[in-house]
Amino acid sequence: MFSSNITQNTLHVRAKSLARTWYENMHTVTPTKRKNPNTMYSGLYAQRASGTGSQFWQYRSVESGDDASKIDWRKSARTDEYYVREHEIDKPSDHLIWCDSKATMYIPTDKSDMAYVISLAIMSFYLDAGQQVTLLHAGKAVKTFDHAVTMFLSAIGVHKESSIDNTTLLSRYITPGTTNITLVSDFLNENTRQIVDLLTKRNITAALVQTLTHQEQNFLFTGHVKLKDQIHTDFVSPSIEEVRTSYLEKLREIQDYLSYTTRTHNWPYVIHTIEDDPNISNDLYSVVCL
Amino acid sequence: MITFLTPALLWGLLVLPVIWGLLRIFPPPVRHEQFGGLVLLQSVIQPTQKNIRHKVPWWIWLIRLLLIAAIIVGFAGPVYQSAHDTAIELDKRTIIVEDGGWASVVNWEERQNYIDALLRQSPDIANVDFISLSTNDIRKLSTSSSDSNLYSIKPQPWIPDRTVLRDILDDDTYKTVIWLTDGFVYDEAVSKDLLQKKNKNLHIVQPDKRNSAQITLGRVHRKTATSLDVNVYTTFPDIFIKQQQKSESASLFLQTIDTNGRVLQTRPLPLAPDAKTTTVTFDLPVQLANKVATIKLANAKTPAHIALADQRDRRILAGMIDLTGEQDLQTTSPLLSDQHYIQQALGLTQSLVILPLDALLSRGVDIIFLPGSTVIDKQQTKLLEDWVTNNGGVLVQFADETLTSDALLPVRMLRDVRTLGSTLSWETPQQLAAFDESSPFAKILLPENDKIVVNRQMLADPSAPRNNSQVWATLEDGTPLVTAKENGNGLVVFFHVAANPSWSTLPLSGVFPSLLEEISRTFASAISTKINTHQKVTHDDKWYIVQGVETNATLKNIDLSLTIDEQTFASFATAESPAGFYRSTQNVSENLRPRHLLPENKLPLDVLDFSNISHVNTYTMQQENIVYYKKWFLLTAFILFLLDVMITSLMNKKKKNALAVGVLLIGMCLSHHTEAQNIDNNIATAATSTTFAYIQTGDRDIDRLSKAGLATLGRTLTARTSVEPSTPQRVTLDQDLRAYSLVYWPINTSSTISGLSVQQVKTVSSFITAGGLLLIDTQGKQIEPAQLRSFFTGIFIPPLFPVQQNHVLHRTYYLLDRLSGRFDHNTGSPAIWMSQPALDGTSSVIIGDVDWSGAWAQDDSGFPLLPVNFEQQENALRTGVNIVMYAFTGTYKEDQIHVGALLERMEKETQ
Repeated sequence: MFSSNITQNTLHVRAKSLARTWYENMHTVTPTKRKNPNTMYSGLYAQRASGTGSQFWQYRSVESGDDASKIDWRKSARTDEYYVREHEIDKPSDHLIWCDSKATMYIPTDKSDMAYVISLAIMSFYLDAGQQVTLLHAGKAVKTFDHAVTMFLSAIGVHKESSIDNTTLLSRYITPGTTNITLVSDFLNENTRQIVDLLTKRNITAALVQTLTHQEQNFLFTGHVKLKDQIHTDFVSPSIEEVRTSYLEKLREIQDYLSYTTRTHNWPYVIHTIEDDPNISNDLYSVVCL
Repeated sequence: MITFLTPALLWGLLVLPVIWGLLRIFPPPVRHEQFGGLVLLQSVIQPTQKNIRHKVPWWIWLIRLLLIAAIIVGFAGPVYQSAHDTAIELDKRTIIVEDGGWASVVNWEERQNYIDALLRQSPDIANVDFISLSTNDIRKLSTSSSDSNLYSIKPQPWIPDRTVLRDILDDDTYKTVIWLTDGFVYDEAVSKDLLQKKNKNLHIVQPDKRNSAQITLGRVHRKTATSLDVNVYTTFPDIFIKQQQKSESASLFLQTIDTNGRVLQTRPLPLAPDAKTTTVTFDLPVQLANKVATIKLANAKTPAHIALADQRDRRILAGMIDLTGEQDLQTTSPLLSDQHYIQQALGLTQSLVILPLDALLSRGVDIIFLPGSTVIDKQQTKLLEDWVTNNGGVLVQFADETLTSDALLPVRMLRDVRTLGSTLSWETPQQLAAFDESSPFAKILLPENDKIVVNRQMLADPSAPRNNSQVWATLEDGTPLVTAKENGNGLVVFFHVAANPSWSTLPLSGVFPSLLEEISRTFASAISTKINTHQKVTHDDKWYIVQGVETNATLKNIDLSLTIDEQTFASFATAESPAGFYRSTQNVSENLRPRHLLPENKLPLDVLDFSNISHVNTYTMQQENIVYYKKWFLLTAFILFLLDVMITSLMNKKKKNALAVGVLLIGMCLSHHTEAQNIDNNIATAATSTTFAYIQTGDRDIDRLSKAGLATLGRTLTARTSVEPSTPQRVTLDQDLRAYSLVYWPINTSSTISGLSVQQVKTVSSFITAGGLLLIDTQGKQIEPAQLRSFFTGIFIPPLFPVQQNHVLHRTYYLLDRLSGRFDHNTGSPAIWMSQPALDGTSSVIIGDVDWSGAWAQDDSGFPLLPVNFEQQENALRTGVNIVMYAFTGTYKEDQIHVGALLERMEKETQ
């Protein structure tokens, strides 16, 4: 019923090239925009806990049971106490990717294609950085990019056949350990608020990518237009111009809400209009720089 | 009744439902758009299954269907033909009576259609009797289909015999009589009888006044030798004039036609709305007036449009007595005989018969020339004297040594002949003195360098009484040369010299014919006309027709040996004695006598009056009115189309488009649609084919001549050259002329030389600079240079120069000695001026005053519209061809390469 014209190969190529673009942009953007580039490159994020990482974290007094070899003699020599040198714990961050697969995303298929490409590009980016990526629909971590593509398509395919609501899906898969999530969707659902509320409640950092078509963003239909989507029956308006205002109001409402929420939580939020920027470049780069 | 030229196309209307189906998917088009954001709209508008097609208002469908229907009906060619009012019921005992005479010719087709309609409405009756009162044979007409019998009946050029109708009404054979009358009364008694019959179911169908025989011509009256009159009678002058004003063909023309059918002179027919009778006078030279056989309306339809001239009174017959001895001299040495000189002189103007005296007098000669050498005996002298005194003859005698008798001389003569300038004479030869003002010869001018010299002269006896004799010409010494005297009704004239050159140089000079012509014209014709009116014809005379009147009506089965008597001439022409020229059985050599269709004393004909008759049903045959509706339907379709486009644009919120279409629509309605299109069409024609144009002057006759002239020139060019112009077009100075290659501009005083407006100046200037040739013709009117100059103020016309003999215009196509038109300049001064050539060596303006269009113009049958002779017209046309060639090829023929060919051609011509 829902179909995407995009093949595995195309998806692969486009997602890869997009990811490459981001890498390239990484070098050219201004320093202020950068976020922790070193760790970015190492693929590791410092965690606020003691561990076996290479990064120095703190000194602490020796306690009973500490190995003598762990005593930092240089530090201890300056004082009367013995100190132990502790390193931060090193743990790959766990990225959750969620690509909206509800039926309206396939209208037109360009939109879903673009959503796939963006999702996969983000996955590729993280994978290349050695981080753990989990595709929400599949519920398991992705190992390689090729694996990601295969899994992505089958998972999405399975999911879009099912009738599970997005909110349910999200709440089911977001485990308590989840730290951040990237959401790729048109956010034209009624339950957009519920999703965002869910995320804020769980203290998860989210990046929102809103993919819209030009018409969805601007609603420029004129004359006699018969509007269709896959779920709703034929919708016809004799004077489409009258509808425009109310539609744009609704859309603005959603977008205002999203941008307000993201701003307060310091989340990235990108609106991508697919016809306007088919090459998806800079604006999405902020998403991967969480 | 509306009919269609191609009714088959109407089947196309059946396609309308199909088209309706097609239109459902036609504008406004519904676009199917996939839209993911629909979910947001759900709360705004409820989803609907309703079909958008139903939202197109019904009146848009109506407009579109009407549009298609209009196109289909338009191309099917709807024609409105006014239906005949045929509310007459036919039965088996019905007879249809048709006048079928001369007046029915005018609307014959309509009459036939009327009868056809009558027949068609009663298909249950197989046959209906029909009779034409002009042929009186009863035939049966079928009601089932168009009867070829009906259409084979033709009107006859005489009056219908209404007594037959009276007999039919009296007879019991027929119950219903339908009489298609021509509306005129011929015999009052019969007409009265007819209208008073009450025993029959009589239906009278009369023609519409507008479409009846409106104009009848009387007979040709000959007032003097040179002037002919004809009375034109109009039955309903006011209606007729209104009709004339409406029709395109403008004014009516009368033409004098000679015995060979050639047009001698054309005159417009002036009609006043309240005058039933109009007299048109033709002035022609004697010799032409003599030849006039008929005067007819140009494009005559009925025999009543032709007036016949009585050929018996048309010629002044001059005679000379045939004497055998004289005849010998005439044949052996003609230059010594008097007769020869008289014959030569008369030959120029009138016909001369030479017969023995008895025959001469019985032939009714008007004037007898009697050379002095003619010896006549006493009996003959008495006959002559009697002829002069009683019959009003004119006798012209010449002097001779042998003249012995003073009888029939104005004065008594001295027997001795005065000899001047001989060896034994003191006196020198005398010259002819200028004519006295009282003399009838006063208008004749004497040649200045070629004096008429008299050597010998016969003198009047000074002692003899004058007896009212007049001296018409004298010598310089005062002695008489020509004397005359009225003798009873007649006149005797005496030349004091012989008619041969041994006495004087008079017979050799050009004055001699003038003198003889003057005598016959002023005296002989006047007297003979006077006498002719009292002419008595004996009742024994029988006449037979030699030439019937030819018109649209046909003359058939005319018995050529038919004889009629004298009384019949004063009555209406009938089948037994149709109109035409008759010859007397008694005197075969006598000239032809006309039998008029309608006796002039009955003209204008009375019209049948039905106003006081209640027992008879009268109907009027409506004038057939044919209107073609095609263009209106197509125009409607176009307007509907624009309307539809406008509405669709409005509905699609394309206000700009709608506004544009709206403006177009309103503009179309406001502008004078057809005119603009006409001019556009004309210009389109002119731009795509060679087209000549003429400037409209407002004077209908001039415009008509211009058009006919250019058309004739066009035909000539097509026939003789590779230039094939299309129909000439009428233009005004307010339109763009640049599409035309040659513009003919008749300027005469009546077209008011009042100067041009700024726009007109621009038009003319742009035409000249665009390379067109402007042919200005002042049509014989002398226009002051200053007047012309002020007229053309503002237009840059290069200086003018006269066209000389060596100008290339004389040889662009024909080798011409003179560039001629209707008025030729015999003075040798150039008639045509040209502007200095422009850079390409071609002049753009040619000005002449010779009236080219008048010389070119021919009617449809190839007769000149104005009196020009063949040679003159040919020369004018050749000039026209040269002008056109000049316009197209410029100075091409000036190229030296043509010199060889030209010289060779000229040599051939001189050989």
